[in-house]
Amino acid sequence: MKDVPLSSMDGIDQKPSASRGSNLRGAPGFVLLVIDAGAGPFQELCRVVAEFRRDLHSSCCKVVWLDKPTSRSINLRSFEQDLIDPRDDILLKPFHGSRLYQVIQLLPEFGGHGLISISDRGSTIQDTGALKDPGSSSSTHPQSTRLKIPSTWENSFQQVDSQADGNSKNEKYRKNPLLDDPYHSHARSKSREPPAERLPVRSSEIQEVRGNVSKYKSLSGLKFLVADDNEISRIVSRHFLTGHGATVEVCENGEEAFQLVRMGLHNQREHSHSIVLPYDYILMDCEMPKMDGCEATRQIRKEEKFYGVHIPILAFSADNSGDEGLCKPEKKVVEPSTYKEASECGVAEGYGETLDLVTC
Amino acid sequence: MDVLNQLQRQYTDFTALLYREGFVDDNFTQVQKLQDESSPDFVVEVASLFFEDCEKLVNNMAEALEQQDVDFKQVDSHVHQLKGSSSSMGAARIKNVCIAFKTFCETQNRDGCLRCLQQVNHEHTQLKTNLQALFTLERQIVANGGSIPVMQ
Repeated sequence: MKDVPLSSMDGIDQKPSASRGSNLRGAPGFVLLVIDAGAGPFQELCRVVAEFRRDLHSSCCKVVWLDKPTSRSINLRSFEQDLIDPRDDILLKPFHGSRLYQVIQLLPEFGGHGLISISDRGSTIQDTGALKDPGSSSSTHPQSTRLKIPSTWENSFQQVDSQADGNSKNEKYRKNPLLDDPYHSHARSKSREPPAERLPVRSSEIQEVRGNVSKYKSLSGLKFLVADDNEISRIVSRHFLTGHGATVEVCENGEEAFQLVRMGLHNQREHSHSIVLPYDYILMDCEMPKMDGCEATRQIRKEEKFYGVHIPILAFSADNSGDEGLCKPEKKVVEPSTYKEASECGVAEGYGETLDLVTC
Repeated sequence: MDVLNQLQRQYTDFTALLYREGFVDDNFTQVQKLQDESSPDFVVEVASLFFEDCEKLVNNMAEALEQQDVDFKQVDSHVHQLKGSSSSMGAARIKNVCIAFKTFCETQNRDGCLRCLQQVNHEHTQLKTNLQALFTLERQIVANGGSIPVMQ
């Protein structure tokens, strides 16, 4: 097989996964490829995959293409669809949570049957590309599948489910991490309701339901930058945000924040035709050494003008008087304890509202 | 079962007391909520970090206040750090002392600052003792096969 730079974005790597050992139960070799559809020119990616498949001969090979919802590499009814093997699946990013779960289930070790589509497990993928509203099915994903997940996987999934359970109001006791309950974690949250708003369907795909989801999911897929000179504050913020599904970068002062944004915007030009914001939200401490929050915001706004973008910046301050001379966030000061406002911003953003909490 | 119930009762009562007396506030609850299977010792770790940080800052402040010519801006920046940490931690009493402390820095009141420093020290010791007791109770509950009650 030729050496192709199938470089991955967002840390998602090509995952050929061959079945091994006694779990096989006589199944043939199976290779699962998870490929970022935007990692290179799509035709090139398909060509490489086709070659790989040819070289594989007898073993089964399935591809799950990951596509970015806001800038699709694979478009419905276009030539790209024709390049894809009908048995392959297309998934929207972010590749975690229930989507990851579904892909894992394709593997023989977890009860998968190789080439069966994710749709055959009860979601809405259709090979013909007919439009279908994914919302109805994904929210009624079969809950009864109890998988015997090997202990190495437990940790990844326990967090998913314990968080969901932990947020239910009837939960009296905090789940005790030292009491391992390996099978409890497989029961997915049953409290997920159908979404209030149906998102437009673009093609045959699985879509994560965004709507009345539990608090746990509310920041799923969002990228945050936290600028705070206080170490403990950074640690707590980071944990809070990642616990709600976000990806987080941190920095210690306004200067660093500005540089990160500047570089993040600059790097976009080199990689793709459309601008992907380096961060969906910036949490900015007002008081920091080197460059404070307001000055950093000013610098960031100046830089953003070149790209015609605007990243919402949420200001917070340890001084709640709000009148600290240097910085006067006009609309809101978000204290570290009230990150639920950040959650609400995340959810609101998903429906097209933009909340800008700093206008300095 | 009896021992466990007793421990859990103790835990609940003690926690309620800590909140009532203002040792900790809602931010502490938030920190507790961040503990899960993937970070099972989160609270203890953050608390340790906080107390270390606190000690260091107190020493720095003491040193600064001992000078002939006190650099109140320096002291103020230390207080600001401590205020931020204690706020994130939910260490309410310490945070409140810092608020008063800041005012004394701004008015360059050395005596006021020294009094606040003493208070910070005192609150630090108290909170450390209290949280250690809390964590011990948690360990005992777990050792007896129970779950740690959650503050509503």
